[in-house]
Amino acid sequence: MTPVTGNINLSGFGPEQWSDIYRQFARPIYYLVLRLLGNVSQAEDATHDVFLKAYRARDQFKGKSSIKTWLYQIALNHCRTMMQSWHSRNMVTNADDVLATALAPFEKPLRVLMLKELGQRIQRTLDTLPVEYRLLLLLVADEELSYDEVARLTDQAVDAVRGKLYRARKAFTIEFHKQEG
Amino acid sequence: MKLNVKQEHSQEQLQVEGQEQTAREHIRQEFQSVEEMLRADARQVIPPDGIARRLKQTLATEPNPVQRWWQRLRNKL
Repeated sequence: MTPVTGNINLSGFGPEQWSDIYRQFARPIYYLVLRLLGNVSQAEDATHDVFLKAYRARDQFKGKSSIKTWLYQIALNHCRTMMQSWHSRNMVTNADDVLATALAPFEKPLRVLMLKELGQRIQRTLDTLPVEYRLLLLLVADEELSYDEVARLTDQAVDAVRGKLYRARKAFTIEFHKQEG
Repeated sequence: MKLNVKQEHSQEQLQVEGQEQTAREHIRQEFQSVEEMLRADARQVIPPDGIARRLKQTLATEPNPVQRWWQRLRNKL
């Protein structure tokens, strides 16, 4: 399978070629929606729906962003709809409460005993965070996305991304360490 | 004789303990950043095969897109 890259006209793609698009980008999209929604069944539905929506909108892809960024945008919009009250769930004050009551230092390395428990602990930790923090951490974890692209996807300035990311990392680490007991 | 058996048993025990320690060291993972941890997590998360099959079935029922006039013209030429 030849990787599909940025400046390409997707409007001519039929179902067969779209399977190639799926194979190339399914993992990052599925991972994002899984950790964002925290539910396997919802993540499977969401992944299917994201690629279907993208297929239906393929003639609107102008190559201004990478295909992956475009798919991420569709995924975020889809998850936003699924999670409904997006802004009410941001609950930045909740995140500040987490930081204010933190006892454990957050500079400690993050440890897990076994890789197989990693996913469960990460999901439990992410579930305690506001959606905004969750989203920033997941997007920035993708090394192929620049801060500029993350800022565009989340509709904010790059400086805002950096500032919130700092707080998100801190909140995540504190919550993660809490689970160690 | 008894001493040799004891020595062999101790060596065997040490070997087993050593192997267990190595296994524990391999299993324990430490990450220096949240992003590093999430990347490790992402590497072991694989979309279920069912999604691809379902998508293929769905796409097979999608109508062909309506072509714009210039696309129809291009196809004719």
